[in-house]
Amino acid sequence: MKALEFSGVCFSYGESERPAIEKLDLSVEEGEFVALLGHNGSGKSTLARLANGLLTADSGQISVFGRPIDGKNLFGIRRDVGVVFQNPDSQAVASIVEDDVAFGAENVGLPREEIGDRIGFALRAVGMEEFRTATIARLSGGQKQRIAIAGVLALRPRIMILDEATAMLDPRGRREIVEVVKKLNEEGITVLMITHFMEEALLASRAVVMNCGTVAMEGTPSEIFERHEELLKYNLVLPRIGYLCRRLREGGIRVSDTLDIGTLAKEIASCVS
Amino acid sequence: MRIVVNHLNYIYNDRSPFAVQALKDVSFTIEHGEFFGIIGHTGSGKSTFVQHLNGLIRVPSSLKRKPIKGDMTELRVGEFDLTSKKTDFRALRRNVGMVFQYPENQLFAETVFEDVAFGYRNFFDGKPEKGQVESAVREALGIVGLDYETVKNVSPFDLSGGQKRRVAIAGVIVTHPEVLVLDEPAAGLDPLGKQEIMRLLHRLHGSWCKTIVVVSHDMDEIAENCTRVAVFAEGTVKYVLPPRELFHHSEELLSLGLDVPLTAKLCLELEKQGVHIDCDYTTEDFLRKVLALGKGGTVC
Ligand SMILES: Nc1ncnc2c1ncn2[C@@H]1O[C@H](COP(=O)(O)OP(=O)(O)OP(=O)(O)O)[C@@H](O)[C@H]1O
Ligand SMILES: Nc1ncnc2c1ncn2[C@@H]1O[C@H](COP(=O)(O)OP(=O)(O)OP(=O)(O)O)[C@@H](O)[C@H]1O
Ligand SMILES: [Mg+2]
Ligand SMILES: [Mg+2]
Repeated sequence: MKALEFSGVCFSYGESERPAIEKLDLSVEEGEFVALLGHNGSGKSTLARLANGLLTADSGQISVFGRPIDGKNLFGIRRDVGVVFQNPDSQAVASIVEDDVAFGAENVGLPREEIGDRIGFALRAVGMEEFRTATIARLSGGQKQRIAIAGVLALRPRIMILDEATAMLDPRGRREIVEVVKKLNEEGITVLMITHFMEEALLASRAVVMNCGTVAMEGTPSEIFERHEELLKYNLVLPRIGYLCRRLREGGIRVSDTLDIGTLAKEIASCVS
Repeated sequence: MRIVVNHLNYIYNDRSPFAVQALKDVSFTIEHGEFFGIIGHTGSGKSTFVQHLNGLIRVPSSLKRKPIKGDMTELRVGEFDLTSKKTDFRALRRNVGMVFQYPENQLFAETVFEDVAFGYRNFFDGKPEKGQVESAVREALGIVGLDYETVKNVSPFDLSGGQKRRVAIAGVIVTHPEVLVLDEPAAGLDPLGKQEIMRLLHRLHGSWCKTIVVVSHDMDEIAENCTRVAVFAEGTVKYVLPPRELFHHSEELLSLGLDVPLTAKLCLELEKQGVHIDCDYTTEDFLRKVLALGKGGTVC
């Protein structure tokens, strides 16, 4: 079943002459883990806002689990599609952490005890249990970002969209969040992860590159990274390890195109010793 | 300007049930001319520390009188003594430029020109002449790599993420600060945008801003660019070392929950395979050393 489907979608902000999304076709199967890449301004966040009905397409159709978004079913759509938006400062709706995390879940009318459990689960998942009763304004940038992620986790949506949700986290925080997301995906939640970290894209089953409001490249992450000349056109680069492999080969050390550190080390070792 | 920090403590909401000690007895020195990196996990005190450097957070006078560990707090940026109430903080801010996390959120003017000009007028003693403002703005936009004629009348909101970031930086460096402090300047930029910002910082370091202090979570960036790095952990400073020494402690850094550059991870893995690489952890040096081994040994 298709979890999310865009067909021929166009969208422009207000008076601006250039559309932010132009004739976009994209479909995501239930249970997929898709990484969405693309340069600044290529339309990724706009796509996320369209997917949960925050913005309405000018033309074309967007369906969630087979139901076209039509303005009357927005409540159900928001329950199915949870989005962690880009800037955590603009997302907090309550001043205390647990109220903020509960907000989404309360809005869809879950029973009280259930909400309590979910807050616990979500805060544990992002490593912020001890901040349950803290004031959001007093958190660091990365801590606020974790709270925003917990709010969507508590909702347990069928589709989770993360819009650069890890941009302000430290490397361990990023790894932890990505692991939680990966686990939720294994449990069946469909994931669309917007990211500028090429390393994160490697975890996805499929990568989609956006350019000027439409899909420019599509394939498994390793297929995408084989086309590095083309990637450069879209402001993207190889993950650093891919770049190293290329330079090593140019220097006469015959390593494969691996994106795994352990494998690369073994290959180098067998070549130089 | 040399930055000297001794026994610096900071407590948010001091003497309230919400007190959080964000800095604990922090001491180190940043030399004039350094490209200094600050790393550490979320909430470790990095932003709290850098906000001290231009007086945005002041050393509370109570701390000065009653030092926590009995040692006097010292915080100096060049000639400026930041623990003194008499310090001219406006002059300090003209000399210490500060670029916050996501600085483009603070762009406000209708044109790029006005946004950058604001930074200049704000720190000018008296009223600058029109020609002065114009040449300062032109110069600042030039050094961040934007074409003055093309962008001056554009609304900052119509620019791409990377361009907005550069306008925000231009608005800070327009006064030629000697010290430039940036809190995660490349966060949220696409990969090419990131590379451009790092190149820009190098250009600045060679010209306008003698000392650069940069907070970053990107260890590869740190290894490639910094003279020395301070590692923050829970409000204290664990190490202050040049990258080539710091990443000798890779295993410990990893156990602190921090990351290390790809080159350091590869060195660790290679060590397990019995191959020892002694490099400074920049990509180029790593490649050079590995390729040299390849030539000496038997290339397959
Ligand atoms: N609220 C808005 N009003 C007007 N134009 C907008 C608005 N938000 C985005 N745009 C424009 O729409 C286009 C697509 O923007 P979008 O935010 O979707 O890009 P993105 O791929 O998410 O970029 P980034 O990687 O920087 O987050 C850009 O040209 C942008 O300037
Ligand atoms: N305004 C505030 N009031 C109270 N506590 C605060 C405030 N700002 C930060 N803190 C706390 O001080 C500590 C240090 O925060 P700081 O913002 O300096 O961290 P950081 O290292 O910059 O983190 P990040 O990488 O997430 O930006 C954290 O525990 C944070 O919760
Ligand atoms: Mg975006
Ligand atoms: Mg910070």
